[in-house]
Amino acid sequence: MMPDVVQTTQLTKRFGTLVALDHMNLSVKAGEIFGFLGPNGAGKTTTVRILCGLMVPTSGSATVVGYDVAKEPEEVKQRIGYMPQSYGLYDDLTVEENLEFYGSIYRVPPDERRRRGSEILQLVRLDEFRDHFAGQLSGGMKRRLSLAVSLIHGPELLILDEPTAGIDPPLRRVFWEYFRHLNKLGVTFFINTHYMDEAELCDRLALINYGRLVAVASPIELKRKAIGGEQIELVTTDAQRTLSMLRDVDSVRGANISDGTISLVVDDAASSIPRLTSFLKERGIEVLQARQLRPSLEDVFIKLVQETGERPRQ
Amino acid sequence: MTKKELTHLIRNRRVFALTLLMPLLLMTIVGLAFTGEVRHITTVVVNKDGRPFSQTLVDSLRASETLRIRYYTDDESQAEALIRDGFAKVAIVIPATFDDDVKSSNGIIYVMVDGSDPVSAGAVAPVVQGIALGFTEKLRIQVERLVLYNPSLRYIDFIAPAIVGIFLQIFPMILISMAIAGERERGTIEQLIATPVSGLEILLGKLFVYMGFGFLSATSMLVVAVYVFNLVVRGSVLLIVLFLTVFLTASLSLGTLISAGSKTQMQAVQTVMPMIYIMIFLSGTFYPIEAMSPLVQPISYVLPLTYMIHALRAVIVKGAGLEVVTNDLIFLSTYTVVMLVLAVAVFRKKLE
Repeated sequence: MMPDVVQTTQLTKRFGTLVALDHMNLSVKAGEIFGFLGPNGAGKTTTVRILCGLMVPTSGSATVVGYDVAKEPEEVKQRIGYMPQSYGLYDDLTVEENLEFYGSIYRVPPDERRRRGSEILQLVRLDEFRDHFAGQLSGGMKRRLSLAVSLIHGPELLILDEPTAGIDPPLRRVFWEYFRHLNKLGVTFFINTHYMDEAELCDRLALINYGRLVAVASPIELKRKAIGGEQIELVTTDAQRTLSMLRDVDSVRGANISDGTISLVVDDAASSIPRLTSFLKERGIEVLQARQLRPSLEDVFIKLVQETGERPRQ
Repeated sequence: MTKKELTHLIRNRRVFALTLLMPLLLMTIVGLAFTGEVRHITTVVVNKDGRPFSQTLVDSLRASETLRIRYYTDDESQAEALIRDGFAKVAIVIPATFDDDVKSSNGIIYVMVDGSDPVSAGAVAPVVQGIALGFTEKLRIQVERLVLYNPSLRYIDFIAPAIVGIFLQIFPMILISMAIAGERERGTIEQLIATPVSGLEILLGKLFVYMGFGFLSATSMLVVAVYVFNLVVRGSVLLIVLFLTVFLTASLSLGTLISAGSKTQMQAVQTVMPMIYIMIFLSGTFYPIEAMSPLVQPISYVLPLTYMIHALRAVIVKGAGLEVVTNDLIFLSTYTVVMLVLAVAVFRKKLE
């Protein structure tokens, strides 16, 4: 079995009396796109900064790409790519010089640096701008350059802190194309985000709030967990009778009616719809319309975050 | 509008303290440093006569506020050596025939001054003349001035080495502290320290570049002083380079320390400014330290710039060798090592 790419044990970080991270246990598997989702101030940036060796945890430990970050930060840094939340490249260097500089401090051999540099610039479509000063680039291009820099040494894990914050949706899609492409080549992703559409695209999601882990699962499982199953909506010839009948069915939970439409929670929507349709038909009720409801991750997010309640006081 | 601006100013404690304290600090320092009259000039008395008249003269000299007689000898060459090595700035030579000469109303005393300090050198002869006049109401004593090293007492010879010292103290310190604070301000530091490059490498990279810049500035300043203003460099260039290296390392390290406490370039500059004033006025650049109030003298003697300027003046103007400036070199080296170690220690590769 492949060891986990990221493994944290009781990771805790305090800033004075504020507990930014509270005994966080995380594991990220090799090859996955792991989303780290939480509201502002939940501890996302603190977590990635610790994972990248930029901050020392107050207690607990983190192993990244097989090395303890506290003990061997340089080994970790050599093997991961990091894209900070705020753009932090040199405005007075050109696109190519920025890449070249970062290539050199990651000790990428010069010819490989050039080859990889060209490849990456093509990937992020900045090859035409290689001689432009980074300071002259647009916001979106700066973000692309930032991604390019984090890739120059061929990292096995990319840690991205809100990589598409402040980026328009079309470009966000383009970024995700890069991520998918790189992921196919074997790069593991750890992505901080508070965009729901972005979170949907992750293989697994960790939901955090107030520095605590609320849930870890795939987006679909997370929804299931929040709702307690899958949601379906029925319109029948007799709503009231349908409701009272379905309330007696074991596999149906949380049946409700609103505006003549019945919504129910079941374990598996796909098999439940035909089963319930014939069940009702036997009892003289016609199902006029049946569909599975797909709750947005946003609903799930809000529901789960609310359940975690107030920030614990220290 | 005025109220809002005032609120900004008061809330920004650094600026507030700066606008409130700086004028007080500056005026106090200048007042204490520039006492108006040159006093306490270290003096060696060469009494070749030793008879009563000469003794009385020495007593009157000793009573003077201007002079601080540290050494007595009867050997002129010893006095010259004391001046050359910087232990004394003035030698008052009483010839062997003084007693007889005075009686024949023809007395002469010689005042040998260190031309590398024209301020003291210029002040001393009239004072001695005054003492001599008061000493013999009816007798005439002539005071002859002999200037060593900078015979025309040119101010440029005095000031040029000091300006080099000041420049090397201030600009590399400001530039490196701004460069480091700038990385923090623009957020480039976060991307940089996420790489395996060590903090020492980041620091040394900056040190080397600004060291080179410092040498370039020092060289161009000296070239202008020599070729445009006819400054004569009497001492060893190698020795000058040695001092420049040590001193540059010290001011760059100090700049690094300052940047450690500054989140922005503005903060770095605000921290540096008061230090600059103190350094310029108290380092003996314009005015001899001996003449300053005893209240500020201790500050002068812990400023590395004081030692740098002393050494540069000795080497450039007086042609002094290593043996003369050993103390300066020891102080500066110790200071530099301490600063460098502190700089490396505070330049941590972490975010907090």
